[in-house]
Amino acid sequence: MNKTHSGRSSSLPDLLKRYSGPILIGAVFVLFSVEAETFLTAFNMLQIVHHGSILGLFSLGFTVTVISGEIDLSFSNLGALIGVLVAIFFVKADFGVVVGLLTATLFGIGIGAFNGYIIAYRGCKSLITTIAMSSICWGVTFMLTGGGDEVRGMMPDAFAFIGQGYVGIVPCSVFIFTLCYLISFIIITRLPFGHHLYAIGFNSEVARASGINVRFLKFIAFVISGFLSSVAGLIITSRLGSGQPIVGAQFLLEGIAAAFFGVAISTQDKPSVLGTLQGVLLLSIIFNGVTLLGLPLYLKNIIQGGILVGALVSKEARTLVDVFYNLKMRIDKRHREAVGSRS
Amino acid sequence: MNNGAILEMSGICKAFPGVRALKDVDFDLMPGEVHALIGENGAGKSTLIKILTGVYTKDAGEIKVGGRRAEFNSPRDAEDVGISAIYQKPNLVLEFNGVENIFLGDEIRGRFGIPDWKKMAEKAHSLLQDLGIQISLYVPIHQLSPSERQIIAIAKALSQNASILIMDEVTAPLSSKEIDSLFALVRELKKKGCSIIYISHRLEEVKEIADRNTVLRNGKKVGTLEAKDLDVETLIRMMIGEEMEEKFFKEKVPLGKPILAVKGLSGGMVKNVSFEVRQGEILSFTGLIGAGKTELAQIVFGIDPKEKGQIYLDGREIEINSPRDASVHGIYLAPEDRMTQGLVLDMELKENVTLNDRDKVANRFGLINTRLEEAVAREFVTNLSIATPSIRQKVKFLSGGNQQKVVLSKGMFAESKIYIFDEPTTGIDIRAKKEFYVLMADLVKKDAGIIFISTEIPEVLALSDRILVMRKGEIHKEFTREEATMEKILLSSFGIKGEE
Amino acid sequence: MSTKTDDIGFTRGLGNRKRYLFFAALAVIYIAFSVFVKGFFSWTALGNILVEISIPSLVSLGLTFVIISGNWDLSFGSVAGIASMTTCYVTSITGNMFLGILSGLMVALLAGIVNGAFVSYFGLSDVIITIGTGSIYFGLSYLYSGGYHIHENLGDSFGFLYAGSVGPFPVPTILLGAICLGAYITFNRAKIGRAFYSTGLARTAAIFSGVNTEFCKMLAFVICGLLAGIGGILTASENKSAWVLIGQDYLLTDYAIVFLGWAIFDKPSVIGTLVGAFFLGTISTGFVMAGVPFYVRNLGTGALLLIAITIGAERQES
Repeated sequence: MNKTHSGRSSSLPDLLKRYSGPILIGAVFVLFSVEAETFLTAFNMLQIVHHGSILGLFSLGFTVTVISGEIDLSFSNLGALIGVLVAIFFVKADFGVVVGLLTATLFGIGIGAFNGYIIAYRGCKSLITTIAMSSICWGVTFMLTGGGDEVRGMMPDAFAFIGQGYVGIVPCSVFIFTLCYLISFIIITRLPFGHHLYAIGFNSEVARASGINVRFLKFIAFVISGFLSSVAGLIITSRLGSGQPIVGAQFLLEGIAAAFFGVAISTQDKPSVLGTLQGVLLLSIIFNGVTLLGLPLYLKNIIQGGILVGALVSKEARTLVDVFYNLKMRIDKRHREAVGSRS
Repeated sequence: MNNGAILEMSGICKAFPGVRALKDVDFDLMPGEVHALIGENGAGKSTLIKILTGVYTKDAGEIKVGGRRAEFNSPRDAEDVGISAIYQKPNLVLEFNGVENIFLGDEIRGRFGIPDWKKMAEKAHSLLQDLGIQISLYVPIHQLSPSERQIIAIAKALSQNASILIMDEVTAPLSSKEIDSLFALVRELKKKGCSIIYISHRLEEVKEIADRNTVLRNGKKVGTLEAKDLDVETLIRMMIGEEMEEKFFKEKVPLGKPILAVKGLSGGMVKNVSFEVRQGEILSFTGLIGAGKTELAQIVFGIDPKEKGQIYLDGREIEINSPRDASVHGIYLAPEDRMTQGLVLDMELKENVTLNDRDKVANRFGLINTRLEEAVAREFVTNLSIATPSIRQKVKFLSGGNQQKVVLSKGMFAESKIYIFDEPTTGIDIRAKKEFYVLMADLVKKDAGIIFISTEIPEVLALSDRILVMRKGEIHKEFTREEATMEKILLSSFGIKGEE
Repeated sequence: MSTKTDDIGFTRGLGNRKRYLFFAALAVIYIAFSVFVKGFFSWTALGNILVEISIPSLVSLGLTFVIISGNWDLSFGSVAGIASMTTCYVTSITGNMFLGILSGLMVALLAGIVNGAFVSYFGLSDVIITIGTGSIYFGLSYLYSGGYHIHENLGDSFGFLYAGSVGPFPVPTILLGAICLGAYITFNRAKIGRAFYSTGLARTAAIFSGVNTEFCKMLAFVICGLLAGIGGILTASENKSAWVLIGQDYLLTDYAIVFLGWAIFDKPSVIGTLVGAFFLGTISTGFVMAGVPFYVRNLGTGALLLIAITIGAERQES
């Protein structure tokens, strides 16, 4: 038995796995640099980071819920709703910047809280609950826009700054994204909240027995998801200069794929802020590169879906041989897991 | 009237539907003592402990901690007064490492509320050093062995400064060296004023470590012995009682040819087990908890993989790789945990009965003949006296004893040749138990063979033709019914070969 | 460690009351629509409801299989899409409708097998896998025509699948009826129905009882894919063309249907799914006739699903 002082072993497969994120990102980066002429331009890099900031915020909120053992599929439509809402606040209702932003964000937090309440306190299954909420958000969004039109109009400059302005040389959206990731990283990896959240995700019974308030923490996880999705939605509207109802769908698959890519590359098979970050980078580059190369849009779906499936499969089988050879053992293993071996 | 006891329980009563688990039990604990709680399975030990840890609420009686009355409505209440429990199956998060598990929920905070892992690691290390044990605290504990995990669980309880520590069968997965270290730690804890309630089947351990011993039987306290007054015979007598209530004995049935034969079976913790079961025979497996009885059953039934050895049915060698294979060969397992393994609680009685062998009530198109199925179900309800409002009742609404009868019906319906019963009478009241024994005896009259697994020695003695005592995955000794006594079995259970 | 096992809950009484509540609600809704929407209280409207729910009921029945066996499938909408595209593509280039339908069904079957293999034999998370495979199927369906509708050269009889009738019964209704019957018999009378239910309700006990849980789960995914494919093909027939977005709206509607049925009958079931479909169809048709925009209908479906979950989930808690 390995008596090491850190939990990390240095065998080759594990090394590969630990750095597989950066390796893959680098590989994809190089690939597109070679294949697409305009890839390595400053302008294009900006595109990537803008997309990445929004995707990153969505995916981060999603990750937090996954850590807690649940799943939130409503994040993209929630973000779209808040984006449209804030546009309406500014354009139709003439809110001031601060009031508009605050109100819109509060709405997002409120919806997240509602999700959290139903799931954590009423015991409803998070998958189907968030599917329902997702469609409710979508419906409301379309209702508010009278059928899916964008909400155009004059928006306060201060608001436009969020999506289009710069803090120094860093785009504001990236700044916000980095801030959120930094804070989340600290909260999840350093503070008790994150640690307890992982405990809940791994084994909520033991967590409860250890005195952790499982319901409350799960609730907070969904509030966080709601908050981050709202910020993403705000940035989208700010960047586009108008409230767009249909942007929601675009980020759903990508956000999920990014988070699970992060799970796949983690040596401990767990969701994490850092893992999701790498997933976001990877997917943003791919999204950008595919667009640049003029490849058809649907390829993105296939790639993103493929990454998702691949991420899960890679945990189970390293090679195809492994797949067939160990099929029977895998069935046996799951039999015994289901039955609960007594040792 | 506090005589300095740190814990006083008086007149504790607790009843479940159909079962009176505890009747007027008194128990007290002095500071710095180890007080053992002894009794057969079902005697009420775990119920008492669950009341003390706030998992159950008592029906009657009083509990005083440190002289003050205490009410436990939740596990937190118990923790708050310094009561902590460790069980046979540790309450740990497998993906976390040792340090994280020890301090789960009670992390030592540094500045700004950030957990100070360095300090926790130091404290964890010192805890382990007190135990004289070396374990890697930085690997996820699913990489540790079961005994190491147990030690982490103990360290966890200790880190919470428990003044009253309950140890419930904690030594089951430990080696003798680890047990020695554990006992050394226990003595350290005593010196520091910690008090321990120690529950174990293993009388040798109890003798070694306990200052006082309280024996429970059938939910009542039989007596309390000082350590110096403790000897095996007295204890056994207290555990099983002097009175021989209407003793049930299985009739002598002429034994037929061997149905099931197992040679050199190994897998997991099971090592080199060989035995055979004949028609009309009840073969019992007994031994301490964790001896490997259920593991053996699960290999024979195809749940766990067999690594070595052969299984023969009616003389022919067979391969059993899944419960389906076992069923096809006529082997039926009534699992230990009937609620999650034996029955589909949300399905109706009649559906559960036919679940193992649906072909029997189906026509050639694969459709179930409802009338036939209902007739079958009714027959079992009548013959086995199952108390249920209807055959369509969902089995989760039945009482334990009746649920077990449904489990039995399942096997009988599949016309099994070999029945394996794993602790079938847990959580069942006396009357239902007796009914069950009769049913088992009837089964073997019809040429079936039964493997009966139980840690309740009295029922083993009453029912078996032969008894195999298991210990640490192997068969330790075999007894025929005539030569078996409770004492011999108990002695064999903890590895002492008797005289003669 | 076991928790309180003191009581055996007797909640049956409560359950029955909730069932009547739902039917009462349905009646109220029906009456409300009749009052406020012109033309709702008529045989035509009722007929519209039945026609409108024929495809969703069919696909929802497939989903019901997956849910009963304890899994989730989020890809079936995309399976419907790619099946319909395949069918129309093959039909239009070979001129043979039967070949087209056969290809579409085979694609649907394959999709179901892939899903089932990943989930039941690889043991991967059904939710995530089907999100992934769903997107892959969706993307792949673009390959046929670059995303353009396929509506040339489908042949006159292609529309018959949806619009035609055999005697007084529309073809889709006959199909639905046949599938309903098959599903009902499977779950309520066939021995494999017990296998499905026990796999979903108590997988461990099912394994101990010799049930082949892997096979059941696999079969459920295959059936779901197949029925989704049939639904997609029917939709294409209805519109005499196929496009990639067919099926994308199935997800919400069909989950709402199955969960409504679950909430009403305490478990996912064929009858429950049909009742749920009728419930949803009534509201949907009423909305359509009242001129309510599509997004409000979606909102309503989502809200209904939410209600079904919160009420149904209360009873799942044990």
